[in-house]
Amino acid sequence: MAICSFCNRNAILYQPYSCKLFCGKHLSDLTEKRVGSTMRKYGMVRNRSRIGVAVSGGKDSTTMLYIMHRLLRKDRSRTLIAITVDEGLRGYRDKSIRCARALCSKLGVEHHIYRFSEYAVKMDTLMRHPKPDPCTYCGVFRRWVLNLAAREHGLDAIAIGHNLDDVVQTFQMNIMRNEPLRIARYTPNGGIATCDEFVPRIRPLLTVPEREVMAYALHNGIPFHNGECPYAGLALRNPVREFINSMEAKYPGTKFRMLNTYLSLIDRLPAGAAQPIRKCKLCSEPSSSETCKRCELLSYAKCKGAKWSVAKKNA
Amino acid sequence: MRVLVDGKPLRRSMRGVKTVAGLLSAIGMSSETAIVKVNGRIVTELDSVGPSDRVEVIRVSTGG
Ligand SMILES: [Zn+2]
Ligand SMILES: [Zn+2]
Repeated sequence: MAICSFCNRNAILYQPYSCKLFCGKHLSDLTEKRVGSTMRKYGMVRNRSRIGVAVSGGKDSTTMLYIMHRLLRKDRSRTLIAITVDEGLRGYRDKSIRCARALCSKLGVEHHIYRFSEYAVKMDTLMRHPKPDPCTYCGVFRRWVLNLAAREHGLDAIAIGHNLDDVVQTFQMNIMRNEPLRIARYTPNGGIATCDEFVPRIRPLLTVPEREVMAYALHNGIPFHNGECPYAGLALRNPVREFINSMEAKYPGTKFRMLNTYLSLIDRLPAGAAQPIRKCKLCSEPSSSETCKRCELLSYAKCKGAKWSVAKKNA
Repeated sequence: MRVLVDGKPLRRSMRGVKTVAGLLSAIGMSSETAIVKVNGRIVTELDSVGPSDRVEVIRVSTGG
């Protein structure tokens, strides 16, 4: 058996980029330290008391909630509120929602579920009109719903479970699609704080590699749903993920070097590099153009008959 | 060696496979996207596997 580099327990993870082995305890310590220092470095909870956590029930978001809850458990000035977005993907989201519920009740965290069907349309319906890429729809609607949820519950920020792999894949995809403004807007600490309507999105798992999140979740017995979105195969993210993983296997440390490139890039951008925020003329949600992406996609998919009214739904 | 991939039994000869890394490459996977348990315990790709072992390969799925 491979032995931990820091104690004499059996190792559960080998890090090729550091040439070190980790037992469950030392991997947990490292991961919690990384999340804690990311939160401090970017002031993710500084002057914020109601922190939303977007919990889908997959490994990343459940691990994020678990760690944030651990790190903030003695802090009485801050409250975590879990928000789950139900896209209506049958056989996938229903299973992960059960995990999100189980974890929230285990930790005693307030939990609210928002359903696409109540604010727009079901993902399975939208997929009959797959325009650019299924993840574009999902991402746009999820952002819209989360923003709404954040305002309804008075959240000062909302934590998104993007791990190191997600962040560098997004960076790579934005390069491939010639989207420099998206790179500017995708910041660890929510970026566009200039507009009150936009709830800052924070990414505490920024420096945690995907496989380490998974090992952490398994070791700590976190309930999570390990399923793939039924539409993931159609997305650009998939080949990009494979490419970056093969580079990481050949040249360990590639992902961290990509992250550092991206972080130093956005550091050097002049203030206001991201587009100014206006209100969408159809739904009045914040938008970078006249109509927001959600309304644009909705009219494209000819799903205008969907409900626009807003009703609170608690778990 | 009994191998399960995401809970489903894998019917393939694992003769000659001596390490977890070797097993993953034999089934076309990598340690970047899979976690392996041997006899119920999470192991690293540096660990060895033998004919009497019960191996579970868990794919690291994307998405939150
Ligand atoms: Zn150890
Ligand atoms: Zn709109």
